Amino acid sequence: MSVVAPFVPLFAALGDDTRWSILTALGEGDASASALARRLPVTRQAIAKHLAFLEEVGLVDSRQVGRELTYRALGSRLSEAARQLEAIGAEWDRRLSIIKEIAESL
Amino acid sequence: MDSDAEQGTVIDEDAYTVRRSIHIAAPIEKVWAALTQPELISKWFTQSAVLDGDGVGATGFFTFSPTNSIPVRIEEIDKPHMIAYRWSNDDAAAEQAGGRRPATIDDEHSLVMRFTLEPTADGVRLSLVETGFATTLDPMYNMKSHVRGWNQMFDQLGTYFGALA
Repeated sequence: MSVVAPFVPLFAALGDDTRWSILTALGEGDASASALARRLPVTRQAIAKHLAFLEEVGLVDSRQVGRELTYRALGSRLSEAARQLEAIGAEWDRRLSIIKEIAESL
Repeated sequence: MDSDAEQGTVIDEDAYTVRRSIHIAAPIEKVWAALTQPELISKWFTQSAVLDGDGVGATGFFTFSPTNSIPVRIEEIDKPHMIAYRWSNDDAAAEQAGGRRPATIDDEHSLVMRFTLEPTADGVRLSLVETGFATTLDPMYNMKSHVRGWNQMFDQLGTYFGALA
């Protein structure tokens, strides 16, 4: 099912407790890598690496605020995954309606 | 269409799950036949379907095109109330393998579609639950070893990102 493939990097990105903590923290408000490092038991360098990964798969984006790069959590990528599951569901609606036609005409 | 569109796609357990149901004005035996007879499966799902039996463990192939045959196995059966097929439809994995489909089912990386038939006053409510979307490739499967369950993850996503979506 080709709809599965786009989930892979997204799931990989979410499948890490540190990245999850970062997303959770960003969900409470935009923050820089340094600010996140003060709140989480992870070095700033490690956080920067995780943020780069999260940005690559579209779960966060960044913008320059003064001298700092500030990160923001994005919901759209997850909505995209939900939309793809909706597409699978829609395909099942179609199949089930054919099953209905078949059974009702047997 | 007489399907439960309002039911939407439900996400639960440790994986993505798709649920759908439909009411069919036919006796349960006919709905059962449509779901289990290979020549009828090929009318709603595949180009052709082959199964070497009709009990648990029966295996075969669902063929969607001359180059796209997918191994399938009857995983559970309770005639005429429930049947579950396990199948390994994973385009991404096939792409990585140079377009080759697996010849046998990889239990750890496959989907299960479970049909449940409930008699009603004037027919049958047929429900479909498809699971396994999180197991079809290693990165996803590996996620299962992580502490947080999907439920919690999505609850939190809903809380934190719902407004952003």
